[in-house]
Amino acid sequence: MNDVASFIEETFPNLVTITSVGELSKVDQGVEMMDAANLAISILAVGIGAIGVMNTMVMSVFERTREIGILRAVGWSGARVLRMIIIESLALCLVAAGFGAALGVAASRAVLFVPAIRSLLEPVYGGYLHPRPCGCHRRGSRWRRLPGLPGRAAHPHGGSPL
Amino acid sequence: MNSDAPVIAISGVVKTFENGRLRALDGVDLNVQKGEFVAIVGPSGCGKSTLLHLLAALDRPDEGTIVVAGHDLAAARRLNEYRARDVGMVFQLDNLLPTLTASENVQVPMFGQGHSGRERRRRADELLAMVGLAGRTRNRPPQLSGGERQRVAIARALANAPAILLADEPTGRLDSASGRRVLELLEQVRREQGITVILVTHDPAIAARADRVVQMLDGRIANGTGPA
Ligand SMILES: Nc1ncnc2c1ncn2[C@@H]1O[C@H](COP(=O)(O)OP(=O)(O)OP(=O)(O)O)[C@@H](O)[C@H]1O
Ligand SMILES: [Mg+2]
Repeated sequence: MNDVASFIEETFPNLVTITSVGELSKVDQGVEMMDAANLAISILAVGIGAIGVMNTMVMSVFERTREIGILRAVGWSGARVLRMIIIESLALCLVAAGFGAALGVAASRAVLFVPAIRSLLEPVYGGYLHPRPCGCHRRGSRWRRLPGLPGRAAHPHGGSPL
Repeated sequence: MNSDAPVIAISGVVKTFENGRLRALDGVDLNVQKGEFVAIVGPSGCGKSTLLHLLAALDRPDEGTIVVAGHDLAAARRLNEYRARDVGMVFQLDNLLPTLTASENVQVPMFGQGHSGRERRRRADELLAMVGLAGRTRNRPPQLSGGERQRVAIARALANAPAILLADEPTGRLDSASGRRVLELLEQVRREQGITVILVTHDPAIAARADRVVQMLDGRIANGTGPA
């Protein structure tokens, strides 16, 4: 096989040959590009999400000045009001994280109905945001963890460092 | 405490707004005895609500001293406990939390006062029964009439058995029948619990039922400072 490869390269100097899948990256950096893009999009998604949550909380404090005023007027300390708001937002975050993760899994499944995407991508649940990758590259694996974020789940075939 | 010592002692109180351009209170002196029922009357804008807000420690005076039940309101740093325990305030609009039930609204001031949830509920039920709303404890304010909401607000003001009840036109938005009920309730509370009641009103008929009527005008008291 190597003979064939070197024969081709000698005969046509403007061609490169590869003899195994592992050498693919010699000629095609697209896979790594996709990984990088994927990471960038994830970071963006987290950033935008965080700003969204912050905005919601700030708005809710503004909208609730009356309520907060009433609580303060009947003797609640500022610390107690703050604690109430933090506990509320934590509860909200937990519920929202559950919904968001379920939605993310559903969306990454749904996206596979597009033939062009199905041939290229395979969902991996888990990823950069997890301390340990969960290794669900095998199609049909039953063991999976929730994705860290919706939109995080699609991963290019074979190019994953995980 | 000496029984002659006033439970409320206000002297030389000035409160300005708009960077001092508006003198809402312009040197107020007033003493109130324990258990007294005082009505504050006067034209709109003369400073009645401002005075009540200072007594409820919702705001601080620019000058002068206010001592209520031993608390120096002009100087004290933390007034949360005072607001929760020593005074109860009833506003012209009920100022209930619309998403909570009547019972929960009455319980709000009891948080942080060392009661168990069960004690809180029991006390709220008692208070609501006292104001004649035993059957409505689970209703939310939008499901109650104006008079009923105002009675819930009175129950809330009494949640921690305060020594002083402040009411800012509590009957101002009520028809005469429910207004009379609210007033009778305040009189009953005062009779049974010896609470000092300070009531702001525009209604001469209500003012006539007080021990003493304090007439205000342009941020001052127009008719003397001591008990009658
Ligand atoms: N937070 C505030 N900021 C600016 N001005 C205020 C504020 N609160 C009250 N004032 C002004 O202080 C003056 C006294 O107001 P206050 O509410 O005490 O009057 P009132 O006697 O209660 O009148 P009413 O009978 O209409 O309720 C008014 O001129 C009012 O505009
Ligand atoms: Mg007023």
